[in-house]
Amino acid sequence: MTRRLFGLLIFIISVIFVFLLNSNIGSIPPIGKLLSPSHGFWSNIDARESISQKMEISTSDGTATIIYDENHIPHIFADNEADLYFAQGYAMAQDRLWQMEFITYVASGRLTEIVGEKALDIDRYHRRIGLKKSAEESVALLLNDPLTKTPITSFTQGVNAFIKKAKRGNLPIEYKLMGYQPEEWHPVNSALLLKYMANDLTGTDNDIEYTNAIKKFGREIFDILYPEYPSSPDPIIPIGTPFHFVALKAPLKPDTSTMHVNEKVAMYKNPIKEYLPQRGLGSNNWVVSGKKTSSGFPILCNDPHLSLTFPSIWYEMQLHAPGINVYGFTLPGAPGIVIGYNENIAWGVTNAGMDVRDWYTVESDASNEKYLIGGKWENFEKINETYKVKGGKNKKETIKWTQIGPIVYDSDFDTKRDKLDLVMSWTALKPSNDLKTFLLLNKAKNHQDYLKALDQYWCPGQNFVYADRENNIAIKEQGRFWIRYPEQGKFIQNLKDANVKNIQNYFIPNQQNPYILNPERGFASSANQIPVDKTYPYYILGFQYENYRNRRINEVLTQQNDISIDDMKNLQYDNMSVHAREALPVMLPYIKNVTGDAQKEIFQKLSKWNYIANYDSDAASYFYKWWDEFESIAWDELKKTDDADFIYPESYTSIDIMKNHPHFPLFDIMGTNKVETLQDVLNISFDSTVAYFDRHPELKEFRFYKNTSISHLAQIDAFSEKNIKIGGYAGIVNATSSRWGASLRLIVDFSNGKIQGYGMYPGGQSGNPGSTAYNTFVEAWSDGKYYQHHFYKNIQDANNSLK
Amino acid sequence: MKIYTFIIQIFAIAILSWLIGLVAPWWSFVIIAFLSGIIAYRHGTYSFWAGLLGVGIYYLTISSISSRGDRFAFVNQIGEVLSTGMEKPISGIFLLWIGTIIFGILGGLFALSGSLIISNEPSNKIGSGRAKTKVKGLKLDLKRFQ
Repeated sequence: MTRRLFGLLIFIISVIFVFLLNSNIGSIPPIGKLLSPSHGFWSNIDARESISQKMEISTSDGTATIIYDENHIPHIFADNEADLYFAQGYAMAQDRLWQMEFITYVASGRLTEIVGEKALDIDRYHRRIGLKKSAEESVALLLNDPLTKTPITSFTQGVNAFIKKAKRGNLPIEYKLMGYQPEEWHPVNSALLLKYMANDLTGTDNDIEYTNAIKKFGREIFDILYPEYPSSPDPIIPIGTPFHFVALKAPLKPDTSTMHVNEKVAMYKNPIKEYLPQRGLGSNNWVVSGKKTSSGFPILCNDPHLSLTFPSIWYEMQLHAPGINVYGFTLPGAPGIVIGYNENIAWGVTNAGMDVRDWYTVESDASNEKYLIGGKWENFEKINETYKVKGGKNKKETIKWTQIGPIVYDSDFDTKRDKLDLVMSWTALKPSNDLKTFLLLNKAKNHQDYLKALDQYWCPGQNFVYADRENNIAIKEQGRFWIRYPEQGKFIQNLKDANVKNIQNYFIPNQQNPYILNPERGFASSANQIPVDKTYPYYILGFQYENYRNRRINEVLTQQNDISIDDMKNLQYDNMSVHAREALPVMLPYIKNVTGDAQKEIFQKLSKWNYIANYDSDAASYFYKWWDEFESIAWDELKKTDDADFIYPESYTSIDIMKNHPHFPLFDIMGTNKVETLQDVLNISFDSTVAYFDRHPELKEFRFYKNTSISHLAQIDAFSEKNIKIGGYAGIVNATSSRWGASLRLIVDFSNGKIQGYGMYPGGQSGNPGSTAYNTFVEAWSDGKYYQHHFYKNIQDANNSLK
Repeated sequence: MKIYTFIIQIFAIAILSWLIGLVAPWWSFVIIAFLSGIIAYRHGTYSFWAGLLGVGIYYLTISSISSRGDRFAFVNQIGEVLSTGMEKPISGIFLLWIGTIIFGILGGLFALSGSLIISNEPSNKIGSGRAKTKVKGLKLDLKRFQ
């Protein structure tokens, strides 16, 4: 009997042991499960994904065939759209489930559920800006529109079919490491993902920084620091192109509209600035007409510059069913293809960079129930939010909404300040069916279809470049952009003066958005620059207009004729720094008394530099370090303080200020007895650059100085790559800086009526770090190589390729 | 009792642990180990070692096959992930052995408890004696095979 008791005791202890190994303990995941050879990380090692293979999927009421090519790119063939999108959801989840779901956790402010207390502020920010509410309202539109209903519901079913299978078998490694399980997928997740992209691309503005700057420095200095037009613009719609339409009237400016005149408002600081979408995002696209290509047919190119992440932002696939045959890149989590081509047309996108987010101070009544808007008192809509915190106590808060948007910053969120609350109005929050645009483009046959598809598009505003088999090329900036009076939206406004109807519904009509078909110069391009010249009849306001890449692209395309695919590859990898080309001739003459070997070496290298920022260039490291030092010393007044956010001027504006205002008062360095001039600032910053490379000789090679890295989405270093061997930088056509770069490169050639795509992206098709298809393309991407797409006409064609 | 039955028991545990793992949760191998203690062998010490070695073989075989060749790089990456905050990263080899040991011990303990619970033998002979001095127990018992 004692023996049995002893056995029972061992049994109980062993069960407790198993129980502990099966539980999350603090941030430690269930170790037993993680180590299990059948269920743990061992089972995430997968080498099959590099092999061409065929897979049959049982859909809700039929089957679909997926043929994977040698790059693990799925080509899906189905008899109808329901089966097609089911299989798309299934295939995407099979490779990217964790990524798809993780982004919905970020967007809906639920990260605390998987990573704990440390994500609370970022979650609060994402709930306060209302992405979830807007996605919930948008999904109703998606499900009520016959064009998007089938894709979104079938896609959801496909994702869930995979989740069910994965839960029984093998989950992505991140679930095991963080100790959680995937939830059922819902259509709202796809809507959330699209709203999250809108946040990534339009979720930033300069209202707070500009308001602070004009209060601190006054109008004259403000206008020099932040001009609305660059001094040498090269807009998307070529200068001088006439606009043949009658514009709608701009709203009237209220007397007390801008907050910089309201002394009640103190300086503002964004409490979680570091989490916001960063500057540096951008993209290039261009299309060359047959007049300028060697084949006599158009070539279309696109490279969106987004965060370099593992798993990659994009997933590549072909979708084929009766009435649709499309190839391209899509965002994991949504049906259809976002950038790509079909048998008739090709399209690509860059970010418009229009300011579509405004901030208002709000006055509440004593009870905090009502707020003043357009001269009337209205009741706040209150939404109660609960944050479930892993390993901690739940947190609750109430977010107050006005008619035009939520209160994002108040004393509860930013406890350090006693300022007026700030309401955000943002076009991305309006319910929209942007997915419809992409699904229509997927099937578009001609230029009219392209324009019809774009008509549905709301936010984030994009420059849609276009080419077709009929030799047409076009570009259109599409999104919903407010009709504004001059400077409206540039500074924090006052809600009591706001015109609700205008904010909700007064937009530039789609047919009056910047657009050009078959431009005379034989090409169309965009690279986040200002879209139009000053003759455009509407006031436009951007938050980060680029002014280097666009001019370089246009310079090369203007010079070249008989353009080939190789020319286009070279242009996507072009490392010419227009920034350095324009800055160094201004900066170098100010450097006096070059003494010592180190100074001489750097000075001479910079003087003789051809401005090509290749990965092994040392001059590129010297220039960009010097530029950073210069900005940090010259614009010391514009550094963030504990109370206020500021922003540096665009670098092309800094060059203009150097050229035209060498005695600009801000060149004076704060806290010194002397009044410094540009000469002093440039010499001091040059000296500190020399000293820096003296201390860090290992960083002279540009790739080590800039350290281009591809980081895992959950910041897991072991699944990331660092110091990638690639040239380019922000402001260069090959826009590869430390964390951002070409998230994909696409070239579509229409030669001889056949469509042929070429592409490459910094990652791989699989999101599984244990898979051979996780980082397949990184090396080729950094070397400037491309693979030729397999765009199959039909399933027989695809089957033949497997043999 | 012949040595081959002991060996068969070990391999039966290894194979069944693998098979049950294909359809059931990660801890399902403990059921196999426990049942082996109940069904196959009523001697605590042997059961313990059969469970430990059987599950250990299962662990070592499956994980080695999964991570053969270049693929072991991923095991080292997991070691890096798990050593966040540590001075020296955990190596993949360490993970392989620590997994084998933890799973093996679990297998051994469940097999032992199965064997003890089912047995009618007095406790002073096996339960409290040989189970406590496992290595010595095994040596003694192995002599009996000869």
